[in-house]
Amino acid sequence: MKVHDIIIGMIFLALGIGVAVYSTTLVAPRNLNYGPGFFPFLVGCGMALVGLVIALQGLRSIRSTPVVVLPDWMRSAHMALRFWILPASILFYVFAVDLLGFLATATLILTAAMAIAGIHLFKAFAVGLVVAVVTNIAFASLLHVPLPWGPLTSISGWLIW
Amino acid sequence: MVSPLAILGQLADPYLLLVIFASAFYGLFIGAIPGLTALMASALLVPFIIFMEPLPAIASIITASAMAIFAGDIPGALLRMPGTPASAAYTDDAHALTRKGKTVMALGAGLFASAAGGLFSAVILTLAAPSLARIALSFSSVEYFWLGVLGLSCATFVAGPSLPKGLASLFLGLALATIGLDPTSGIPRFTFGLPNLMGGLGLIPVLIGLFAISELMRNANSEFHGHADTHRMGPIFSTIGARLLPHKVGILRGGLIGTVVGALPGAGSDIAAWISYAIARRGSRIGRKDDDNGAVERIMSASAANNASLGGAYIPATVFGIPGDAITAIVISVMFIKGINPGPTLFLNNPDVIYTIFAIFFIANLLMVPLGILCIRAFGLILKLPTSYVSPVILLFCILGAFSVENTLFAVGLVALFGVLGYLMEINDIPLAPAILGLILGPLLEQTFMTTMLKSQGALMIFFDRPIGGTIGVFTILVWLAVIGLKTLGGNQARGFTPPSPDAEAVPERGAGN
Repeated sequence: MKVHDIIIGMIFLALGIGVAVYSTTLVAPRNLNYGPGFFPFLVGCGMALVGLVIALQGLRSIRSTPVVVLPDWMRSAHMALRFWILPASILFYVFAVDLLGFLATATLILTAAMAIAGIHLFKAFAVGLVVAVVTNIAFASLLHVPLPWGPLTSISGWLIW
Repeated sequence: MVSPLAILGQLADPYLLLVIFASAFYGLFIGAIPGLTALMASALLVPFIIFMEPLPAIASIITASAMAIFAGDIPGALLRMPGTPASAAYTDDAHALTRKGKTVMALGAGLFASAAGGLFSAVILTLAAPSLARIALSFSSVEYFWLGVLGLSCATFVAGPSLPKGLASLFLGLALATIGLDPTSGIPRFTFGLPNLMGGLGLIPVLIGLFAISELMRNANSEFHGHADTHRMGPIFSTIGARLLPHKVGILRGGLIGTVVGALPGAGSDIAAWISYAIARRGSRIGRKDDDNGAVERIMSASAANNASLGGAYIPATVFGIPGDAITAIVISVMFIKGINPGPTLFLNNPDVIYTIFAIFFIANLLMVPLGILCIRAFGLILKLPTSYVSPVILLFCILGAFSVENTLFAVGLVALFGVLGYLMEINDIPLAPAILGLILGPLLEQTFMTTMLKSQGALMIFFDRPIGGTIGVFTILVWLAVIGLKTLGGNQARGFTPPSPDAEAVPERGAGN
């Protein structure tokens, strides 16, 4: 979503002020002249300043450029789905992996992403399952990355080589 | 100095050679797919190399990134779709040659110039780094502070047409870098009570999110249905062999530009290619012409430059521990995890490791010629693999990459967060490179700044007291004054470095995303 420079400037101005104000709450230990808030304070001030400059520069084009340009994927529900499936499946992984285990979660993510991209559901599931099994063997069994096993936890000792 | 035999002994490890070969094929594959960059290739390697010995790990990134930068030429020439942003500068020239039936000339020029440019930068790296490291041994916090400021300034200046937006991105990165325990007093900052934030934001999850996920999101609805005819191509060696000599000046110039641009933090291979292309177009006798010979000269200059920039980026990375681009940032964090601390002392304590790393540059660039020819021949097969299958697998490896480095699900969540943030920043013309360099160099900048301030009890003159530090400081300030002066005086004409953009397709994704 492309927004006007004035809005971008305002966001950075607000963010910069926020950082600077928060920094002033960090108190320096008694023996130090410059405490933990000194550097972030300078950074916050800098950010607020460039935010202001961006907003002021944006004033020049306030009539010529639209305030909000909608992204391409807003044109159809399917395109929006293909776009949002990416961050959504990462979040799904974060919340589901401990319960379902890596194998099932990865299969679900791969199947969903491929099916939404237009691959036949059965084919997507087959490819997704194969990729998930291979990565699970490579990372959890061979490289010993602590990937959650989910329902397989009780027998995972046999599956880690 | 270490004996060449010791280096050869390190290189003779069959495991290392196997890793180099595998990474070469992998890099060629990723680079040849339009939309997947050399940086993405390096970031996706992280979950694998984190389990390797230090040398194979670094060799893997060096080889894969060099191969990916070359392979980006192939879809550029055959489909007019640059495989990586680094190839965008000469895509039109290369495609025009293909349409005349001279594919071999276009791709051969790119291949041999890439290898030559890479070798050129490897020579400079090997010659310059040790002497620079000797100087760097005497550096104090003042010198490192100014080097950090100079690096961040360069990254901001070359990042895009708008200086305020580049600065906004830089300050965002610096602010993100302050999350976690304060380096001088140990007080938690911006952690909001979350224990996961105590150690600060991990670089790899942020990098994967900002560059890889945002790239996937941008390409979510674009598919490539290209068909490339790779059967009717003549022999590459004999066609291009005779053409190398007349273009040697172009290749050397490209190699030099690439190495210098690559050594500047923030300016990656795409910018090196654009600068070298522009100079060949305007400044060289052969490159000015619009015939085939001129096109070959321009392709060779720019192609040598984008590969040379990879080697150049390792100069500040190995000598000062300051990354030249996002790929070397990954290398540096991998080095730290593996117990190799980049910086001048590396040349004293582990000289054989550092020289073996340099030697790998030579191997990777020599290997590029035969494997590159193979990849050109096999490109038709790579195209058959549709993105609908490739992107979900990449997504899974992004998750695995973040998890295997940090071992927390919090890190995986960061990937999603920074993916959306990177996407929003990119479409609003806020460059990503300054933010990532701010995040990487922020701790160094803060630590050296605070140490110096505490040492001097607040007297700012200490920043100009030491000969080398003071010189870099004055130079940095002069560069700032010059850039601001040019921007205010020249208005639109001097808006930093804006590459010529004949059509939207060829506009490079500026910054470290190469």
